[in-house]
Amino acid sequence: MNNQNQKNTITPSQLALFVIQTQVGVGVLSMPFSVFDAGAKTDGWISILLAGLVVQIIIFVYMFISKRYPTSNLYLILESVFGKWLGKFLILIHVVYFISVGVIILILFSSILTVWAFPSTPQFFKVGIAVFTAWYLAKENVRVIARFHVIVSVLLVIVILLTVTAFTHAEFRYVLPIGHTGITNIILSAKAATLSLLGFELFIILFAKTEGTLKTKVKAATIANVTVTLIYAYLAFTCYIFFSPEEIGLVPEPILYLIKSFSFIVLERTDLIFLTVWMVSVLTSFVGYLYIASLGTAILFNKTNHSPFVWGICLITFLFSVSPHNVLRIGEISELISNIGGVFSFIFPFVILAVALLFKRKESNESKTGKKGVSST
Amino acid sequence: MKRLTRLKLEKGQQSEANANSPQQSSSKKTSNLLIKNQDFIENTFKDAGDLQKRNFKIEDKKATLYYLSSLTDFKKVERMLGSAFDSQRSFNSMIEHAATFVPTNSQNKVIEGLLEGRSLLLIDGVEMIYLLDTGSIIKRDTSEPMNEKVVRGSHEGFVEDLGTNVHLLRRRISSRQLAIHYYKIGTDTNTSVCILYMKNIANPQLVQEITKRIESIEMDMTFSPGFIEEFIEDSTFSPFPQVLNTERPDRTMAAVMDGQVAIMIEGSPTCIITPITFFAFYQSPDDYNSRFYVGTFYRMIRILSFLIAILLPAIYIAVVGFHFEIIPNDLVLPVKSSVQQIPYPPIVEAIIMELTIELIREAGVRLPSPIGQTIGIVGGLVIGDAIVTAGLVSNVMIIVVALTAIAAFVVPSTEMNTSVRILRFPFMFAAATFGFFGISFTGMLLLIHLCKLESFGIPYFSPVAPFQWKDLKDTFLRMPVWLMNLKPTAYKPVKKKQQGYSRRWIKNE
Repeated sequence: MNNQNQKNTITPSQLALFVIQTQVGVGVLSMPFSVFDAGAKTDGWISILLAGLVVQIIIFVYMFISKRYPTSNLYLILESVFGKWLGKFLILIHVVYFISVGVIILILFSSILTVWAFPSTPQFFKVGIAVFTAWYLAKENVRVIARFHVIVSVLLVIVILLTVTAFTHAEFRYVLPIGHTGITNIILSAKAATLSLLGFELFIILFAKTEGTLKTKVKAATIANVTVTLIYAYLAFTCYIFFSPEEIGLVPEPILYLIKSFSFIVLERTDLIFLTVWMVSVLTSFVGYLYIASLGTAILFNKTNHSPFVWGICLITFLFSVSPHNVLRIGEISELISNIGGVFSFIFPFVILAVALLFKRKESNESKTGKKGVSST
Repeated sequence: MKRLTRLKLEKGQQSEANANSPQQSSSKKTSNLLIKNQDFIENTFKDAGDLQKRNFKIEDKKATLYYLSSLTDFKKVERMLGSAFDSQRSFNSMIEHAATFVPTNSQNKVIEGLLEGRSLLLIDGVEMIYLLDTGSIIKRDTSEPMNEKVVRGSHEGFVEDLGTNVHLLRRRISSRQLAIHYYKIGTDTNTSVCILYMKNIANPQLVQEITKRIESIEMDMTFSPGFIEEFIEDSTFSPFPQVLNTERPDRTMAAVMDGQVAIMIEGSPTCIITPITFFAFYQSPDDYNSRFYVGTFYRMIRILSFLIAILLPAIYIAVVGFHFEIIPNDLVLPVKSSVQQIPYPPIVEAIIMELTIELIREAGVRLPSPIGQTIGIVGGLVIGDAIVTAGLVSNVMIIVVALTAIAAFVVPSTEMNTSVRILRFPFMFAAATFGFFGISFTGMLLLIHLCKLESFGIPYFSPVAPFQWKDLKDTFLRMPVWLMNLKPTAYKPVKKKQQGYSRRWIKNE
């Protein structure tokens, strides 16, 4: 039993990289464009920093929730706060949301691959292989997933190194004067930026499985958030100084276009290498959602082991993402899901905390502690 | 040992057709009547043609000596009996003084002893049967193993005799903490197996787990360490070896001192070291005998060789088949002109050449060295040259395949070497079907597998997954020895400290 418990925990640094890898995913390619497009123009990087600040506030909310429920994850907290039936219903909604995020990830993934490198490979195979690989990882315990996410974090460094070359052709006047689009635009774009940071919901799910005190967990979460925010701000900034403001409105995947324009002595199309690396990032974020979705399903069925549910969820995501769809509809649906995600990630924590405070709900000692994770002391 | 007695007893029941319950017959004792003991031994070894019997008298007591002529050194028998019974002492004191006579009254031990080459001395009126250590041993030199040569350092190697091997290790670790446990595996062959570990270093849970797994082996023979390996390892279906096979005493010593467990088997010079991590296969004792820059550089080269061996053909196939645009302008023409005339896709070329190389290797490896060389030259040079001239395979492909073959042989361990050579095929097929996409996902599958794999509860891919910053000092790098104060944490040793500050003299100057 002791051994089993040990296998279900991760260290704070693993937590940080786990969440970073889930946050950085399919959206990273288009993020500078979508933030630009939302109104902030070349001040988009400020919006991203603002969004990071908002996420940080949510992390503190998580901290207060987690203080009341040190050994429960989000699902168990929902059940405890809202009672059994409403709780189950909310879990179901969460699971459906996470699954639909997974489907969107797969659809965007395969459509970008089709456009950039593999026009004639059937979507069936592209999605199928990704789902199979994700299944192979997601059915394992959280520790194995965290190990994998930690190793592939090296690839983030490669991404940054690849984009550094852009500074040789930088034109800093594109972003000047800083803040010229006005506070309102920047704040409005921050909404678009927060959507690209989605994935931090994992904190409240993984806090219970992390070793160490609440303080170290929150510290790890903060470090993760700061890292992701800075990486995103850096990538956006690099794009804004590389492309002129007119140009960037025309390139939906600015980072790929940016990298494509550089070639090295032994390498002509750097973007293909980048795309190969990016596939790993997509997979890790897909696995992150797959894992939390299957965890939620397991709790819905009162089970503790998530592995048997991964298979079914993989099948659902696969079927939905290969089903025939309209490109324009995808854009709409993905925006809808992002907005729902915003509600889930930004409003829900406050609701949970408020209800928990109002009704003085706290973790009951006997029931849930045995099921999940390790104590926080 | 519990298992052993159970096996013995099955045999005993067969020979004596005894209806006794197991518990009773397991403690079967010898009789104090000479005749009964003689009957027992002769019945048990009814069909053993090499059982020899000598009758004689000691102080008017009838005595019989039994031994298996095939296992016994006659000179030893003579010397032992001579020195014991030559003197003028009384019978009892003679027996007391003969320290090499091991008395026993257990029938199982008697049979076991006889099978190990001991002689049995039966004396009328005495219940005890004396075992004389008269086994003859034929052994070869402890010469350096052919497959694990080092430039500098110890040139000793294990041999087929378990006693000698344990001796080699004992001499290297003169510590009271060195634990050596013997087991018998094989219900019929009764092969001795011995596990060694440091009591104050190795993790007790680990030792317990290994002992448990060894004890649960149930088979009538133990042919080679490979059998034991497959019985005790965690995932038999993984392409990666999960125990380290070595014939080097110095390597075994280093492993035991790191908290690992060594398993040695009678009749095989190969020692199994477990648990093991992936990167241990890429280390060689030579690393520690050279300057630390040199050691580090060659470690890096070996890790690079792993990547080249599994990825290079796949990348080439993907580039030629899918992503020709990745090749820089100046290189396009040479590659294009070489590939253009080839009538089939790069995957077919690659498979032809890779299989040829495997054929040459498999043909040459067991042949005597002069013929082996000829095969190498005919296979490698002649076929390689002719196949390009004939236009069946492109020049670049020959370069890629040759580089891959060389890279695969860089690994110091044979087991890992074969694993790596097999692993490149899935990558090649994935690259041929899906280009970089295929390589990326096959690579991820491999990485996930490595993250999952555990050998006796020890993460196989440590110190990379889970990431252990401190252990990198002796994995990718080979830092100066005096910087490695702590033992590698991967094997969860009880004693963590390896050394103090050994260069204290620097402060004094």
